[in-house]
Amino acid sequence: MSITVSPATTAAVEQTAFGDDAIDVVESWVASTDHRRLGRLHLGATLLLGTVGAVLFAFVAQRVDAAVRGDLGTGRWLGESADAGFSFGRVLSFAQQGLIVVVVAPMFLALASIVVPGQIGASRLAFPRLHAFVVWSYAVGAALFVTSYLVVDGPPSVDLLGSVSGLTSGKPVNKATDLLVASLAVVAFSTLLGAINIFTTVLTHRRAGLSLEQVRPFTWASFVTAAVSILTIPVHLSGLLLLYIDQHFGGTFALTDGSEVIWSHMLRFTTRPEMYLVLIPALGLVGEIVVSRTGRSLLGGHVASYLVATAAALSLFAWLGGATSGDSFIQPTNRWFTSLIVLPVGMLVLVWLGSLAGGLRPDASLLGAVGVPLLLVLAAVNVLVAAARSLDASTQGAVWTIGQVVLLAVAIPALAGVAGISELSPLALGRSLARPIAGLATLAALGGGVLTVVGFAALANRDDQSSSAPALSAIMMLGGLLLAAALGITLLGLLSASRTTGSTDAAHLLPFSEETN
Amino acid sequence: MATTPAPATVTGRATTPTLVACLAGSAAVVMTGAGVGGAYAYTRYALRRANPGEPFFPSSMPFNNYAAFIVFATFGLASLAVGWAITSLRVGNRRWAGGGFGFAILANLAAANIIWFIGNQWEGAANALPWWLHSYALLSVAGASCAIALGASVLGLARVITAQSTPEEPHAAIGAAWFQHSALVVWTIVYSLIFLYK
Repeated sequence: MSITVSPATTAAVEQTAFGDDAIDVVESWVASTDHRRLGRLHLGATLLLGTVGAVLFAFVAQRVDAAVRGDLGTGRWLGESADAGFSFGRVLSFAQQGLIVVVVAPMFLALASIVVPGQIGASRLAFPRLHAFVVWSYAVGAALFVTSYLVVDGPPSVDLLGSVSGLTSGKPVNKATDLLVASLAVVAFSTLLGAINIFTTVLTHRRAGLSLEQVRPFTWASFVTAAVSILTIPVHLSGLLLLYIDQHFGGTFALTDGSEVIWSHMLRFTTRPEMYLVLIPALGLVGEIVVSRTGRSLLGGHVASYLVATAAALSLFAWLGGATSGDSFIQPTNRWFTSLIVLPVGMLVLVWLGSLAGGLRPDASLLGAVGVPLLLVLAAVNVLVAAARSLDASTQGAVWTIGQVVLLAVAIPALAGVAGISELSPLALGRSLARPIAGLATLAALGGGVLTVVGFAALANRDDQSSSAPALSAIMMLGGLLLAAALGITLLGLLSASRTTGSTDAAHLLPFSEETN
Repeated sequence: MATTPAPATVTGRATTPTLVACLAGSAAVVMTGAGVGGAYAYTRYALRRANPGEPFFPSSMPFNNYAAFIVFATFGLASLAVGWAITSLRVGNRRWAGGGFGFAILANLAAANIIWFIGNQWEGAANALPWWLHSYALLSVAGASCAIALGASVLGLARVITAQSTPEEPHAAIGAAWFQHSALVVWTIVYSLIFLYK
C-alpha cells in the first residue's frame, strides 16, 4: 500500500538546532506561515493559559461552599476585600471565561490547524498568512484578556448566581471593561478567521477523489465546528459591540428590562451555542482515537459523521434557552430543543463502544476515549439526579450549573484534547508523546473531571446548605488542580517532543476509509 | 510502507478557496447584523411587556424614513453593479467589469454618508433610552458591513485593472459581490426592524 505524505509533513518536522542565532530563531517563528509550526505555538499558548486558568478555578472551587453560605469574607483565599481587587466573582469570571473562550475553543482550533491538512492530503491550510494572523492575534487577545483582570478596578464579574456586577453605564468608562471587550473581540475574531480557514481548507484542499464523507473523524468534527462557529461567533461579536456602545455612549443596555437574556445569549456561555460547540471537536477526537486504536472504521459507516453534524446543528437551539443560570442548563424538562443534543451524543457513545469491541491496540489515548463516554454518562446521571431532586433554582441550581458547565465545556474537552494530542502527536509533532506523560495527563484529566462534577453535584444536592463542607471543598479543589496538572503535563510533553526530531507516523494521514479499502 | 509526496494543492474543483472564504465571511457579516437585530427585537419585546402602552421608539425622535430608504436603494444599486461587473468579467469585457466595481464603490460611499447622516440626527437625543443604544448598534453594524463591501469592491476593481481577475478566474470578484449582497441583507434587517418597531 502506498501512503501519500505531503511535503509540509516532512518539512515541518525539522527542528531548530540549539546554538542557532537567536534572532534567526525568533524570525523563523514570527515570520513562519508553516501551519504545523504555528499550530504548535498556538496549542502551547492555549495549554499554558489553560493551566493557569484551571489553577485559578481550583481556588474558586475551594471557596464555592463559603460563597453559598455568604461567608466569603472570612476565608484565607479570595476573600471579598475590595482593595485586593481579586474578589471571588472576578476570579470565577476569569476562570470560566478564560477556560472556555480563551483556552478550550482555540485549543481545538490549533490542533485542527496542525492535523487537518495532513489528514486531507493537503500540504498547507487554504490561507497560510491568515493562519499566521490568527495565531498572533490570538496571542494579543489572550494578553489583553489577562491584563484586563489585572487592572485594579477590574471588569464586570459574574457572581455565583450569574448576576453581572461592576458594570456601569455611561462615563467614566471602566478601562478594564474596555480591555475585556477588546480582548474578547480580538480572540473571537481570531477564532472566526481560523474557523473560516479550516472550513475553506476542508472544502477546497482535499486530495482528488477524497469525498467529504470519507474524511477522518477529527477532520469532519473540525469542519462541522468551523461551519457552526461561522454562524455563532458573529453573534458574540454583536454582543461585544452592544456592550462597547453601552459603556462609551451612556446607553442603558445593562440596566434595561430583558438585558439579562441578551447578556446570556451573547456574552455568557451558559446559553450560547458555543457551550455545546466545544464538545464537537472532542467527539471527533474520540472517534479518531477509536478508529486508530481499533484499525477499523466506526460502526455504521457514515452514521457517526451525521450524528456529530446533528449535535452541532442542535447547539444553535441554545439561543432559545432561558437567561438565568437556574433554567439554562441541560435539564431535559426545561429546554427541549437544546436537550435533544443528548440523543446524537448518546448514540455516538454507543457507536464508539460498539466499534471498540474486538481487537484493540491499547494506549494512553484509549483511556481518554473510554473516559469521555464515562464523563458523558456522569453528566447525564447528574442531570437526572438534579431533575429528580428539583433543586432550588437560585443557589443550588447555580452551584449545580457551574459544575455541569465545567464538566461539559472544560473537563470533557480537556480530556479529549489531552488524549487527542497524545494520539495525534506523531502527525502533529513528528513523534509520539512519551507514554508515561500521555498516561499521566489523561489520568489527571479524567480524575479532575470526575472529582469536579462529583464535588459540585454533592454540594448542590446537600440538604443542609448552611453548614460548611470542607471535604467537598477539598474534592472540588483537587478536581481543578488535576485538570491544571493534565494541561500542564501535556504542555511539558509538547515542549519535550518539539525539541526532538522524529519520523512522521503516516497512519493518521490517510482517510480511514482508504486504509481499510 | 512506501511514501510519496502529494501534490501541493488540489485542482479542478468547482469551488475555490477565495470563493468559499468570501461566502463564509459574508455569512459572518449577516449573522453580526442578525445578532444585534435579535437583541433589538428582544429588548423591544421585554420593554413592551414590562411597560405596556409606552412607545419603544419615541415619537418625538427623528427617524428619516426617506434617508433610510435611499440607503436601501443605494445598496441595491451597488449589488446590481457588482452583478453587472461579474457578468462583464465572465464575457471578457474588463472595461465594463471595472465600471461595475467603480459604480459599486461610489454607491457604497454614498450609502456610508447617509448612514452617518442618520446617526448624526440621533446624536445626543434622549440617549438614556434603550432603543438609542440598539439603534446605534444596528447602524454601526450596517456601517461596518458597508465598509467591508466598499473594501471588497476596491479590491475587486484593483484585480480587474491588474488583470488578476479574468473570465477563467472570476472568483475574487464573485467573493466581492457576496460581501456587497451581505451589506444589503444587513441593511434590510436594520431598516425593517427600526421601521416595524418605530
